[in-house]
Amino acid sequence: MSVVPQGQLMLSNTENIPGFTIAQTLGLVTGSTVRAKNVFKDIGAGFKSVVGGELRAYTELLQEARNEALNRMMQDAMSRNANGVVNVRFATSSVAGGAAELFAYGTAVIIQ
Amino acid sequence: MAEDVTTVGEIIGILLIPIFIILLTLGPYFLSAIVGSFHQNGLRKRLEIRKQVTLSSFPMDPIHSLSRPANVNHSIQSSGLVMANVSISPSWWQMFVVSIHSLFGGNISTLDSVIRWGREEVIQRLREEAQKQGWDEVINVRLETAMIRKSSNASNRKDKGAAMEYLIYGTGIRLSPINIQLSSA
Repeated sequence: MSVVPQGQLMLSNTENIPGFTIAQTLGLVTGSTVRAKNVFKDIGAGFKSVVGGELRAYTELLQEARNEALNRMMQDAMSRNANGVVNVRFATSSVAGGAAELFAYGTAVIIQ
Repeated sequence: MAEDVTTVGEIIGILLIPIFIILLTLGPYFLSAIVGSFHQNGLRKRLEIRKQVTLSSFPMDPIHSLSRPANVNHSIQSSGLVMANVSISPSWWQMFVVSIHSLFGGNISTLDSVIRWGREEVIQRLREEAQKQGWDEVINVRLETAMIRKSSNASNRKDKGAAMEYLIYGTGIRLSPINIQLSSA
């Protein structure tokens, strides 16, 4: 069996954290953020969509926003003294024109 | 009277006006078709090369959607969440073809290529991320699609593009170098 790392939150999108057993379940933890896109980046992406392919501005924006949502979820889990979050899921929804909500949720657990 | 006589030049001139109008409206689309197809073919070729390079560094494809490691001969050393994303957009020409295709329905092969490229790209990015972070396997991989920009309707033609985002995530697994079956034997 592996040793539980101290002061570190382990994330997994499986039912349990591989190599550990769940001692206690602390309930659902969530984190979300709403981001709007930059007008200048949007114009740049508009030009890029003439030829198609990747829109790097959007990729980076969503990546940043998703990490932010994940961090908020991790803070929620840490405030409950959890040392792991299992079954992490992501959801994206577009709210009011041009803004997107990125949402991360999971189950906080104490592993050993 | 000289004014009443229409010359051949004037007739050609009158005929050229609609041709110019058509070229001005469809010109960007044709440009988009030519440049876009070169650009997207290049992307596909580069992806194929990257895929072979990454796959050759693993004993097998490290990504799968099973909930436990495929390699049962080794115990798990550590694990962590790993994710990758890409946002893609079809070209104007592809959107234009789609709008015509949607009158008849059926398989839209022109959009198929860019969508398939996007999926392959995001899967490849997860492989590269796994390689960079040193995971041996990525288990329980999930793929999600989100529409981040919709193409506007005919009344508002200023936004011709659509964009979608692919997200892929899974649990990275680092296996211990000790072979369980060999050590127990």
